[in-house]
Amino acid sequence: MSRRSVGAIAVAIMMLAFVYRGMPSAAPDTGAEIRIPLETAANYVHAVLKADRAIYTTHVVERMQLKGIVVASENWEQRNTLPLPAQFLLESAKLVEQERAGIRYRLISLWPINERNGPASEFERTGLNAVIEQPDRPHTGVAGSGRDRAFQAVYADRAISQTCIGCHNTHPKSPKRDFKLNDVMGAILITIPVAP
Amino acid sequence: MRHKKLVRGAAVLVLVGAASIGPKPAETAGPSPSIPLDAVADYIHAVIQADREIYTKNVVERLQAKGILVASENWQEANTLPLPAQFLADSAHLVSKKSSIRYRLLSLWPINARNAPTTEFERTGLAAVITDPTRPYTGFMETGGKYYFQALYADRAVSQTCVGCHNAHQDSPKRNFKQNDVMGGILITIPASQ
Repeated sequence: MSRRSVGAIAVAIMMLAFVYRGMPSAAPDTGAEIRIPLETAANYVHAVLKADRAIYTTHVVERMQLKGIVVASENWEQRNTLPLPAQFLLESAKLVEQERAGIRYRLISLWPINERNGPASEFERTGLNAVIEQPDRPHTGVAGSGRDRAFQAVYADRAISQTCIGCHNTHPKSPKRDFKLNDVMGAILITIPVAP
Repeated sequence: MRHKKLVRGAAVLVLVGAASIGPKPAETAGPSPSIPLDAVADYIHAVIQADREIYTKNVVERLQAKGILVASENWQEANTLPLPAQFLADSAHLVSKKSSIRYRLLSLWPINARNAPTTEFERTGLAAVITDPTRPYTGFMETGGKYYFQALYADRAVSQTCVGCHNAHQDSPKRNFKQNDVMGGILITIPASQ
């Protein structure tokens, strides 16, 4: 038996002893003792964000536009229209930030309609280029130090609906107007704090 | 599904502990940063809740107030919007096809019997979050030889839409909900090992 595997067993026994001693049997498991990679956590959050926006896009925006009942438009707050799918995601991000949940997310692109959504760091620029090249996996990294230390994951964001393309290809402020369905238009950036 | 919490939790911990000191994937790759499962569940819950709230306030309530559109249970057949609870259930269904996490709505007073508690953990958890809605009820479970962390969060009537429907629906077992009441819970299930 190698020195490493002896070490592994010793550590496992110590952890087991700690768990048994540290938790009274009546208390529910809190989940605080078991850790998973931050990238896996970011993947889960990304899956929820994508699904919610997809449901909103297909069940609400596209369906209502098709039926001719109501359309989605950028100035939805002033008009009797629906928020655009991108705005739906940004509004949700704003709410999560207000509630100080710790996690943050936003849309970024090399061709943003709103300048605010351009890459804000070298990491974001590199990440956008990386996911355009390889959209199947996120570009990840850890930035900052101390309390500001955070894990970041950039996920390719594709044109999932004609609504995305229609708006980006005609908007006067859009720097790129030849998007096709399923093109990578930018990315979803997810930021999760790393406890010091 | 069974809940032998302590032993299961410890077993998974040992597996994770042993794996983390195995050979590293690459010399240049530092230790992969990690996060406790309870914090992961909190983040997922925050996103699910925020998305449903945006849908409820910026879409459903707003268009109902303007008299443009209403939300109704039979939205697929009618020219209406999905109810906020249906929005969450449809999103959960989509996530279950693409990811290994699961989430669903649960209640002691479900309109649809499918949303009633199905395990002792779910029943106990619903009673626990009604008593203390400020924190989730958590535990581990095993199914199909895999271990999962579960967190059940109190789910409140965030809007008049929730209360209106539940107090008027013919299949609703409780019809005196008030806004902000705990109507049930959101159950989030996450794999506890890689």
